Amino acid sequence: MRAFAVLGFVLLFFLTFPIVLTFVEQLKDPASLLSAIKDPLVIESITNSLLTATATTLIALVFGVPLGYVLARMDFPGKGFVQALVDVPIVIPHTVVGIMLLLTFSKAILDNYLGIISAMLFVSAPFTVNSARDGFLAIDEEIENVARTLGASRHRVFFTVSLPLALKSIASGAIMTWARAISEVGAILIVAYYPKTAPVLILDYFNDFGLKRAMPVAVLLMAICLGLFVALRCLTCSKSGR
Amino acid sequence: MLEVRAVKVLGNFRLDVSLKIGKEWFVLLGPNGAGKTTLLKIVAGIIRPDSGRVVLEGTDITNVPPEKRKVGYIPQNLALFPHMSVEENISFGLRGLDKKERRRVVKEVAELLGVGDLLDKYPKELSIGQQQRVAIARALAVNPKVLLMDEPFSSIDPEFKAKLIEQLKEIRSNLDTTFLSVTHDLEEAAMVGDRVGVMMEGSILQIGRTEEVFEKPKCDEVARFLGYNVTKGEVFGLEGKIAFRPTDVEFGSGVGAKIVDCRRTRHFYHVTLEIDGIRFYALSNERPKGEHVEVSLRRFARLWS
Repeated sequence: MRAFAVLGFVLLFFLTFPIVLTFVEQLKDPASLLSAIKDPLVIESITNSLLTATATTLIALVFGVPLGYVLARMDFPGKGFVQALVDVPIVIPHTVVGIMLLLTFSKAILDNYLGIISAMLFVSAPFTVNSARDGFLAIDEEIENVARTLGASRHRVFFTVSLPLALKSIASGAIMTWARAISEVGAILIVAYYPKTAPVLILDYFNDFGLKRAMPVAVLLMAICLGLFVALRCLTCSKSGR
Repeated sequence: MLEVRAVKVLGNFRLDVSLKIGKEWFVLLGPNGAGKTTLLKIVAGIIRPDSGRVVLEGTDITNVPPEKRKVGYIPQNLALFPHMSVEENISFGLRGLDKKERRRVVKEVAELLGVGDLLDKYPKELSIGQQQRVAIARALAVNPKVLLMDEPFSSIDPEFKAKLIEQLKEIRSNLDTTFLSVTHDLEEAAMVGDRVGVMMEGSILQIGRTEEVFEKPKCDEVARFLGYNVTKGEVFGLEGKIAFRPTDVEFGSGVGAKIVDCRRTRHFYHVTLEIDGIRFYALSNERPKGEHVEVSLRRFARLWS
């Protein structure tokens, strides 16, 4: 067991050390961080990222939660295939996703917000669908059956019983979708280089000016993302306290 | 009056039943896997039969969705809504009523089942017995024409069980409604039902007044399930196939039998006897002496087959 713990610790160290190191390094140079905060390009790109990722998450919820419910509750021929389809975006390299989207929607999504959101949605929607499905699967079907015998239509059962009970799972899926969306860069680079999202701007700064210029923006974005991530996680955890 | 004629095939299992129930407490008794729960779900509208009809008070409800049937259903695990308080659980089905009226009904039915002081609690804060009562209250609040209960007393302590059963019997006769419950427990079936149907492998083999079914099983399977010995009548000089209870065997005079085994249980000696190579069981107040005894039957039932 101790060996397992050691192996796990190595991985955890690998995952957290770069985050800590980046913050620490940046704190040694607070002036560059301040100028990054004042950089209108930085502010604009971060705003773009936050807005598009949030919009993506909302769209994923509107279309993904019903799909998750269907996958959890209905049996139909080809269900395994549909389930596989949902997971397909996860295995396709993101630059390929960008090219596919461009081929399909061409100018409609080229260099606009729609393009960013399409790219984000393609790579991040599976998280919402899958966790919604798992959330619904975890609900005892008899609870829904009883609700119906008490006079509730399928719709009412969904909104008053199933959805509230799956909410925690759906919320954690939505957070994953949001996090995946905001960190997307590969597909966005191909579909919508403009309007600039923060990860694209960081890449720009890195290519044009090097690490020194890219790092403060990276730290800023990371701080915002981690902060929101932790806050949302806490919120969904405390809601399920009952 | 509830009338069910239903056929449902699920894999290798085939349910084929025909049943008429009046304003009474009817118990479906049978081993696990007999199809009892499936039948309940067909009546509730949760499972659709492949063929057949469900008729409730003269109306064919076969194609009516569960929410429009006025059939209450309490599954074995009770299925209380975990995210709602007891009050919210009980009032779930009362959406049509205004707030004040809803409150009144919830209070009334909660008092009736002795959960009036638990309205603010959540299901997981309740004991199993309390959860059971809340589930019954929730189902009764909407005034169903039939109340279906799947193994309703299986996880309740024996002393509370008897009390709850008596209470529910009284509630049922006051409401003058139909209760249909399901159990594999012989004691429970004997305590609960006005009438009982013995169900095995998808069919109801015998229906009748509870005492009648328990006293006079009609076929081999039912007799064995009810704990009877089933033997050829010849063994006791009788004709046909007979069934008799272990308590119906009288020791002292009659036919000679070999004692194969004798075990002590809490109240009786459980004796395995053999006549002409045919084994059966008997209960005796005292340990029979020797290797042979003479036995006769106080009572027996003749079987169809």
